[in-house]
Amino acid sequence: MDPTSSNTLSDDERVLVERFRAVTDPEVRAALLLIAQIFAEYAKIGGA
Amino acid sequence: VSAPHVATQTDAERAAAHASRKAADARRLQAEQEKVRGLERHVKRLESTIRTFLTADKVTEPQRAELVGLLAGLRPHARGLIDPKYAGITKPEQRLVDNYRAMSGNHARLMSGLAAELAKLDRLEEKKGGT
Repeated sequence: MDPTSSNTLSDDERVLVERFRAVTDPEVRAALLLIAQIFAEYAKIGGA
Repeated sequence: VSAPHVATQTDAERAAAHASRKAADARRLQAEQEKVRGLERHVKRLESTIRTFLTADKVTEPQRAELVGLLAGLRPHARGLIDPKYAGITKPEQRLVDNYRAMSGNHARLMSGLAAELAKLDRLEEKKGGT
């Protein structure tokens, strides 16, 4: 993965990534990723 | 004499195949609808838990554990999301951003707030561990 791709992030995306990086517990990190996945899937089916 | 018979059989087979495809489509549609309903239930529970989490005066370890526990049942779906071999913007981070872009504004705000709280909690635990 290209580390310079962070340049393409918006401010709020960068903040999110920084917050995510600050979480060190792998279980909590997995939980955050899963939540993002579920919310994105939900949006795909028209959920708010 | 036998030709019309063969034609009739073929029609019957065709009709049977069509009916079978229709039944399979209906089963697939039903499975999809069940999946959507399941997802909706998960999202509603998630929203509620995250809101409780974010509005708590002070996030406690049991609350954090509750959130992690809630997601434990979904853990198999998270398998493969974390790949530690990537540096910089990692694969999971890229996926996080992709999903963040795809979600609604309401969920994006919840997501960012939750990440902030969990990061804060992480720092507190680190301090606690260090003393």
